[in-house]
Amino acid sequence: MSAKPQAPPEKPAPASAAERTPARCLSKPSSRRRRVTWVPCLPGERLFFPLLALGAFLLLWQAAAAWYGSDYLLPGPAAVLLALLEVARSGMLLEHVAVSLYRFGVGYLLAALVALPLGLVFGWYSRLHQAFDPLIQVLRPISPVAWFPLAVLWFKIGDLPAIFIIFIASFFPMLLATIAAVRGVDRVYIRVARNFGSSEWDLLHKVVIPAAFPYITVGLHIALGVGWIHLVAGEMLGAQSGLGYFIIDARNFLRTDQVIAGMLLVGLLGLSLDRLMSWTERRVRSRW
Amino acid sequence: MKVKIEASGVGKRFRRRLGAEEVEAMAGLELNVYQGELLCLLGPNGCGKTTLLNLLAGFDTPTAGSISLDGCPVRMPGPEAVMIQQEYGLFPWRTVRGNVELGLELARVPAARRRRLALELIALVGLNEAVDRYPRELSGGMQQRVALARALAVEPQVLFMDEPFGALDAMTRHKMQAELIRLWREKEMTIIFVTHDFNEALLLADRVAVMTPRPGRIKEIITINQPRPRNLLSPEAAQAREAIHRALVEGIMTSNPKEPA
Ligand SMILES: Nc1ncnc2c1ncn2[C@@H]1O[C@H](COP(=O)(O)OP(=O)(O)OP(=O)(O)O)[C@@H](O)[C@H]1O
Ligand SMILES: [Mg+2]
Repeated sequence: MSAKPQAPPEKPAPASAAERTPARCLSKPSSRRRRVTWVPCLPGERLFFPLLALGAFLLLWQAAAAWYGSDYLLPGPAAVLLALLEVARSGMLLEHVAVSLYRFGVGYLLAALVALPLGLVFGWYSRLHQAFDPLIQVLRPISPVAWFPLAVLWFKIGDLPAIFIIFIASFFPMLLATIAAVRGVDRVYIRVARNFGSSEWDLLHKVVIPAAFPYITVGLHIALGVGWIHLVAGEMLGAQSGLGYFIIDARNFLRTDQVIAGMLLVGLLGLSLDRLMSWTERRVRSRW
Repeated sequence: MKVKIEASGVGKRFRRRLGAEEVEAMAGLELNVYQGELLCLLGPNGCGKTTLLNLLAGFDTPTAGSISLDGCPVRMPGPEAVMIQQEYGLFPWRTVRGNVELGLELARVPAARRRRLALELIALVGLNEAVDRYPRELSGGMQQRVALARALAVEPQVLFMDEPFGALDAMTRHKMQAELIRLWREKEMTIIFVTHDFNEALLLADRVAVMTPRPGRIKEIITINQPRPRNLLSPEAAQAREAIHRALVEGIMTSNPKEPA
């Protein structure tokens, strides 16, 4: 088929230092060269530097807090930890976390339920996509936060406004990724299936969906992050519970230590969700 | 001999974009393919070999002329005439067995029978140890075998192959050529095989159809009567090689030299 690119003709290079060095010396790694692969010698070694960085950060934070001298403006890490333990002991924390996860789960799943089929249809029928693309392009850049007034107007208070915001936030990444994934399906798979007399339905669920799947999961992953970021914002609206509410509530009581504790929790949970997603993704994608 | 595929007056024009100038890839092409023969298509790059296979297999429709299979016009691809795609087109999310079962699955063959047939074919192409592996875990030669097994599973009457062994190393290619001849004999198929390799054509073909540069036509058909396995150093082979070469060169010399492929 295509000829391999030819190696450039050898030029008579000026005698360099390397050329004058006997070959047996060259195989020794020079002391200044960085090791490319870093093989951990101890099981704990991979944790060592991150822990060191974390320790340094906490130390600086504590020092800054001590220097500031105001628990209201900048509580130190110790104060935040105490606050975290305090709310954890009261049992309220678990409830807030649970309700946040519930809202997130519902909003995210609803978004997937709508966005994935819609994305499949738009990706497959390009005429339909052409028709709706301008609408999508106009709605997409609107920050989910801009939907707040409508969310409150339509859904009043409780779980629904937050769920709606998460829905909006995760919907577009999912939709766009799915459309792109379907459109990007290698034509050869479709040709093969048609050659074997595939029905349209078989083509969709035996060829297009599995072929697009790895790229759809990328959209799901992005949507997970975007959705989680907007969870807190969504819960600062009409909600009376959840992590977003917890943070707002702590602020109203001038408990900055609890505000930071809440923020920390949001970050940690977000990280866990992301890791969980990566893990699942790796497992299902291992074959593609 | 019975004519299996008949192409008469076939022309194909492509328009790259709306409003762009049309490209005439093929014009006035005449070709009869006989039942059970192994026909090699040979021609310069861009002469329309792939285009012709696509037309014969029903993936595309000619802009002029007609194509028929067993006397019926070809309208769309179907399992009676299977194309082995370039790069094989194996589904990376299915194991070897899953890939071989594809055509049977789409034809609604019951699972147990499907499985049995697939395993039989996998054995036939010598991939027993790779049944549960995924395509990316296979070498090019093995992938080619999977594609063959997948095609054979639906018992096609016609097999189209577009430079199927082009990406294989010399040894593997040699093995696959022998394998193809064996399978072709066993299954009594009609095979249309595109190649750029004279030796491959001389080894495999009953007839070699040489095409002219674009717009592609059949310049000449060289019949090779030598029994298989063939000796490429024999006088007959040398004669056939000479004839193919002459047809190819004549086609190029007499064609419109305006546009390089
Ligand atoms: N979809 C298409 N749109 C526009 N032009 C096309 C299209 N397909 C093929 N052509 C043109 O038709 C001509 C024949 O192409 P084709 O791929 O059939 O050649 P080929 O004989 O298979 O070449 P090769 O030996 O390189 O595989 C080429 O000039 C090509 O540019
Ligand atoms: Mg080609």
